[in-house]
Amino acid sequence: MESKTKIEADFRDFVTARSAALHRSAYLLTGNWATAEDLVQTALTKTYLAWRRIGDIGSVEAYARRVLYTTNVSWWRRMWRNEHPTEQMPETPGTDHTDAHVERDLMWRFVCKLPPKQRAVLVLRFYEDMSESETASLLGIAAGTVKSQCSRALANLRNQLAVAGIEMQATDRRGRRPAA
Amino acid sequence: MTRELERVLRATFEDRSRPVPPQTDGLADTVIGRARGVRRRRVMAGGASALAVVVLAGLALVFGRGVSPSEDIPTGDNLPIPVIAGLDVAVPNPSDKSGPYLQAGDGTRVSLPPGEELTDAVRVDGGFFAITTREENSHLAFYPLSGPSQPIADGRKLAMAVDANYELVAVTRVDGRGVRLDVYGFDGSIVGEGRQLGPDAVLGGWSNSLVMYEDGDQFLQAWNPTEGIHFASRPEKAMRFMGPTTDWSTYVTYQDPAEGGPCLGSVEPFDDFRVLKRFCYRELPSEAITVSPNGEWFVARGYLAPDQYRFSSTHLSQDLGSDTGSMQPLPGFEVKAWMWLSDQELVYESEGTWYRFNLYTMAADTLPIPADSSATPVTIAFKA
Repeated sequence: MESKTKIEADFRDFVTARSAALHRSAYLLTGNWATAEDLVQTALTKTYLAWRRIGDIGSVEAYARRVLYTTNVSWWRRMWRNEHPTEQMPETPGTDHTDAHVERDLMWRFVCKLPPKQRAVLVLRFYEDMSESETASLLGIAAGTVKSQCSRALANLRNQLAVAGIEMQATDRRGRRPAA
Repeated sequence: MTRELERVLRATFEDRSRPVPPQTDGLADTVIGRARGVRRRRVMAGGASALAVVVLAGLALVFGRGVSPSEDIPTGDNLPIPVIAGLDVAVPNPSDKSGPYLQAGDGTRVSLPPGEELTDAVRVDGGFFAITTREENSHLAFYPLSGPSQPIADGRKLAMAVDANYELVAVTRVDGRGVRLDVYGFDGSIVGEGRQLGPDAVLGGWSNSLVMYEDGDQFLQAWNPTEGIHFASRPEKAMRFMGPTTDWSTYVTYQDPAEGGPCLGSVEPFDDFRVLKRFCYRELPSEAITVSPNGEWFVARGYLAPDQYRFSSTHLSQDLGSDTGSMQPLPGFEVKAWMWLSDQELVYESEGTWYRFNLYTMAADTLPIPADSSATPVTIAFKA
């Protein structure tokens, strides 16, 4: 069995190497850095507590990511009854709808309104670049559920953007990041 | 204006995640400190136990012979009661002079109030949660392995379910209006506002942060006591709580109209108990079934003939329904009680003998536990 010192040293190495990436993912899931920090701390705490059980160091990041995503959903579940979605639309973008920044800003606002599972699926598919099966495996749900959640999320975004005056079309490039 | 939605979404994520994340110096120290705090709380609150524990009621007549009075408790090798490796036992009424007691696997004993009958107990790190009863008045307390007990709740016909972290205890009691459900912290403090249920309400257990219970015609209910959130299943599906899954959902059995019969499904309570995954089996009985604590095994009891049953085990793949696994008979018929000893070991009593069955190896051995003819309840607490 690994010694406590060895576990702590390995854990510190892991945090140093991967915490920035985890923070970025957490921010995309939560929408603000303060909550993201709390989420990362919670995920890392659970990861540390499970370190011996995880065993293989190569599995640690996958475990931490899974905890990150599931904990976020769990937090949302606790809070969802206290949220009061507003009917009010966000600020209308400027008249120049072609401005990419305005477009992305509006997109971000609508992403932040998505239910956490849909948002998690979008982040995994379009930020982490995971396939449907990889996303399903990480979230512990069926691949079909990933597909349906993703489809609903994209439809939701498309509709909201349309209401705001921006028409979007879907692509059939399923999950592949465009070349830089 | 037309844009490719996914491309804009990717660009949005890239933009938003580009800022430098918060300073992470000292993060590891913070997390390690926090983890130590969690461990301390778990231990103090009777946290997750590394021991597999079985609490048996009804062993008095057999184990009680030669038991010393509680003030002269033998320990270690001198124990008159066999210490079963990995198993802790509760002895309800060892004699007329001494009260019931709980015995940890290492031989440490905890005395319970004399004159009271032990009706349920759960072993956790640092001690036991136990319900004792005298003349219909029940008392729930935490009994540490050393030190004074901590009273938690009193009432008529108490029943309890301890959450996976062993920090909260859901308690039902019978009152003049039916059944009252409350959740207590380890210190006896009430968590959230309790719920008044119908007279036929039955406490199921915990699924993550939700207390699951059946309440007469309203069928399966889920309640988050800390947030005061409540969810109810649709009556026509006749859902029954099986246990938590390892992700966000809950295992239930239910009637699936499309399948024309009962299924095991993982459902999302907060989303109208929507079925996420399902496993339907035409011989699935509507009673006497269980899912292993890690959600990996599904065990059913099938009817072979009048008064004859068999256990069937199915290894559940992650995607329920795509891999039904094997159905293997377990030894023994007329099974009266069973419980999970670990994620893959099932303990059950059949025809007077207690078996420990390993679902991976499909091998069974017997445990030196005399079975009680009245098949009194058995409770198990474990940690993977």
